[in-house]
Amino acid sequence: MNRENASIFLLSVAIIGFQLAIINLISYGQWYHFAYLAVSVAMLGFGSSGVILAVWPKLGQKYASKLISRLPVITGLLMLSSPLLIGIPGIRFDTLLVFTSKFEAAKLLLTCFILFLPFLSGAMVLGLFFIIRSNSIPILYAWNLAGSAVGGVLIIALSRYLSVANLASSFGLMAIVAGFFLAKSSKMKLAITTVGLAGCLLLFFQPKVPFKSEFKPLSKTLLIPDSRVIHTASTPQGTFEMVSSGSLRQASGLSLSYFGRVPLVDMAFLNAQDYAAFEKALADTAFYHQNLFSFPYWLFHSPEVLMLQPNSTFLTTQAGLLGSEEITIVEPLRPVADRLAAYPWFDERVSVVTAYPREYLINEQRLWHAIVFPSVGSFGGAGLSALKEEYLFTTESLVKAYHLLTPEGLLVFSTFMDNPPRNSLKLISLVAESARDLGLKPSEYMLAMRNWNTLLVLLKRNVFENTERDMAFNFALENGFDMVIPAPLEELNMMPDSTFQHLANQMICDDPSKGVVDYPFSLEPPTDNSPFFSKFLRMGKFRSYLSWMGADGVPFLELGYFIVWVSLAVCLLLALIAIAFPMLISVANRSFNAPVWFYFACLGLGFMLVEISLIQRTILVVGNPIMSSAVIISTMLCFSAVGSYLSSFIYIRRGMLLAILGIALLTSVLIPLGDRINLYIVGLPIYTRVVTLVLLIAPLALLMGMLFPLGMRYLHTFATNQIPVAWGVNGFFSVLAAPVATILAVEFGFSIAFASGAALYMACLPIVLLMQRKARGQTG
Amino acid sequence: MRRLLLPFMLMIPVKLALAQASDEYVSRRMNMVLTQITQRGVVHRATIKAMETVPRHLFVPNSYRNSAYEDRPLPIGYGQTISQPYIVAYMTELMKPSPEMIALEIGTGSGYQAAVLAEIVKHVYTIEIVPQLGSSAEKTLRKLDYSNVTTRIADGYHGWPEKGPFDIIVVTAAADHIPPPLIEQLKEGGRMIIPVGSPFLVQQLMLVEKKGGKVKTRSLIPVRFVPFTRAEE
Repeated sequence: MNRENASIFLLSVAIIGFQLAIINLISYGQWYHFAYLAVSVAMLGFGSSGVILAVWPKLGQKYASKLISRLPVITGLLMLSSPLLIGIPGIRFDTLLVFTSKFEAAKLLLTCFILFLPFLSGAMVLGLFFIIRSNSIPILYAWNLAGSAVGGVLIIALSRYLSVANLASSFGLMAIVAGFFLAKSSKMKLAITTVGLAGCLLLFFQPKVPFKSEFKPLSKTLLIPDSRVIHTASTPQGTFEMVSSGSLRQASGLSLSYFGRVPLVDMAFLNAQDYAAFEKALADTAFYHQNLFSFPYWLFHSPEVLMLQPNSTFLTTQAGLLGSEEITIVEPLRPVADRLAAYPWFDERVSVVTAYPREYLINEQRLWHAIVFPSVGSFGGAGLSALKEEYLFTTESLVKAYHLLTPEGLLVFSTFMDNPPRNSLKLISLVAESARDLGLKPSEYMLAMRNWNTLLVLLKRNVFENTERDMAFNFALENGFDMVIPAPLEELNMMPDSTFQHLANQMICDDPSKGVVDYPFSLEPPTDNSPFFSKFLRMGKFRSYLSWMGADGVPFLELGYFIVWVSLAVCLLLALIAIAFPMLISVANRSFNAPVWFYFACLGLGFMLVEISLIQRTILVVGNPIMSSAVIISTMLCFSAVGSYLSSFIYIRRGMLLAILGIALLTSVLIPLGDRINLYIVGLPIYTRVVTLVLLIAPLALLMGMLFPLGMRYLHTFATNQIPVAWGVNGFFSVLAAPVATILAVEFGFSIAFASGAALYMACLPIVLLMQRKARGQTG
Repeated sequence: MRRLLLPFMLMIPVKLALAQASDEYVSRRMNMVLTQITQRGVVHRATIKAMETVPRHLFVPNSYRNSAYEDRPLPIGYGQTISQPYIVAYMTELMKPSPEMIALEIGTGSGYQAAVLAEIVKHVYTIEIVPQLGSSAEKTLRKLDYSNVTTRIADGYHGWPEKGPFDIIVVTAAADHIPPPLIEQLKEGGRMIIPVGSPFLVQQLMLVEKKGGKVKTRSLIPVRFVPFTRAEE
């Protein structure tokens, strides 16, 4: 490895690492939906670097070596400072205000611009290398991709040891080291070393906890006078914080006829969002009895209970007090699992397993009397969870859980009642559809009841006996709850109208779609292909939403969904300003080469569509989004690097044809068989799963990685002046790809998003044939 | 003599401007009641009168005074908001307040809801957990001579047992359960209003009634307590 290649490698590690760290930072301070924006901003940096080199070709000729030696250090400094800058009052934006204040939207744009600069600077270095060493682009591209692959893995390792604020800045130091490798004089090396040491000091003095929105639950909790953070930990899933206070309590499902004491809780937060409650002391027994969640225990003697990611110790304490013989808690977040394992009010009947619930279900063989699912949907509505993949709440997941029940066993679900009903009806719809998939009549196997704000839904392995239904009616009556399935005789907790009960009745009918077609919200049961439980908006119903909420209110109906659209709008605006317009100006002096533009546009959009849909789809196989991102990003980039390297040994047009036909062949196998393959490998040990995934994706990534450098080689031979433009076009469409991929996945499912990406690669085929003809003409 | 009069002469335009501004706010307030409250179906006379009387602009931060009568909630700092006028009127009407009643408010916030209730009922007891908000609201209410409002900085969860039972309880912060002490402190036949759901997105208002020792709830319209803009730091 020579110094230049080493520098490209390190800079690429820094760029991808910084990008992923920024996603973590924004997820903490704002909400994770802006992750798409971070990806797009990174792509914008790459696209506009190409444009700058196209508009000012002198940069690539006259000043290239000067810039190459200085820009990595500048990149490092920008990476070190931008996380601090975006938290400064006056610059920092707030998600919840973006939809209502133009000023706030301007601050969002400013934040994007600040984050864009390190990517622009870093990408400029890569672009300049591509220009001055255009004869060895495949090799350079290979080092670039290999570095990116390493960066994807490194962030997972570092996130355990560094705080969310330091994580982003630390990659700046790596970029400075990349600059050190390129420094020619000892004077320059000394200067860079000084800058690096100053950067280390900055890391040391940087606040460990970055800025967070004042509207995040943690911010509001810390306003309570005696609240304080008692424990903080960095985890791959985000920042964990434990808050203690003399005023925090949690008691969902509590009967209004309970007048006793409600115990205080310590609250666990993940990325400043409330995650789990830990009771500080036990309440009196009545507290655990006079609660919706106690009903399942009326049906058993000494049940064995599986609790999937319970959001409160209350549920486990309750299960223990009401006679459970054995309780196993499945908790994915390590600090929470550790705390649960050491929780003083649990006895030897309780055991804790650190695992993702869906992953656990897939590999579980044992039968249980009750499997308790976590409360689904955010409190009071879909809101910000709109685009969160909930693989635990899909028909496939419920079917699997059903098969883990003893003959008298129960699946237990809950959600908050909302108005207009969305979460509550979606949960009933999901359980009913799963029952139908199992060949069961929902009305015979389901039971549901509610209080004023919580809904409890049960699915039994065998038919609910009449005596059990009578028990349910009596339990409801005693505690002031209302039955939902079967329908109530009289409502104690009145709804504004009969919509909820009417639709709940429809859901458990043989033909559930009959009554819900006119309902303005989507109640389609989520599946593994589209696991978005809290996605309720229907494209065709916007008029209804507008008349109900008004134009300024609609975004708040399902904020997460609108954030992605805002991200797309912001990305488009930035891409037009930073890439399209300057490029059009530069093209005025060059020949307009539509096929070349089309080819690189397809590659830009196609690669990201395939990559993002694979990340989302693989969450199910490897158990969690972090692992999925690491496996897919690293595999895609690593094997694309190999493809890029191999492409230097084959003829351009033959290589292009081979790659496109290979991609067509592989995707035609992967699309129809993907689900089956996933379900087959999901039961294997984790290492086997990862290796199988890598083997499955590697050939596709390898072929995809060949097309970009082959295209560049073609331009190097036949249209050198188009190289920066191609880089820019590719960047422009890569910028839009992240939000586009998400919107496609949410609206049509992962399979369609993946197929669209593959189709874009195939759309390059006529262009390649055209290039072939043109090349023959020129050489002939 | 001229020297003595000069300060007074200088004050005249200031006073005039203040009077003019005050007139301007009155006219905006009347317009707010007409377009946002009565036209949307609020008919309770005492509520309408209270909404016409309470100077809402004095309950918002100075930088938002101009927007005080607009049809939206406004930020008051500390992640809190003053509800939009219609919501305040709607909640007040739902509580059916009358002059002999005693009310308890959990979450004083700006103090505006307490002031509106104080125009109608005998006495309002209001509790705020965030000290800075509580002190600021107390100051505003004192300045406006609301002698029938008593404020306290404490955890509202426990209510105010020594002053109860209450005819009306307003809980302005969303919670996952209704605190049992508040149900206990609600008078037989009394009414409690509580918003349910995320404070930033869509919420529903819940009416809790205590009749014959039994507690019944009724879910009302979905509302938004959305902070539309925020004071710049």
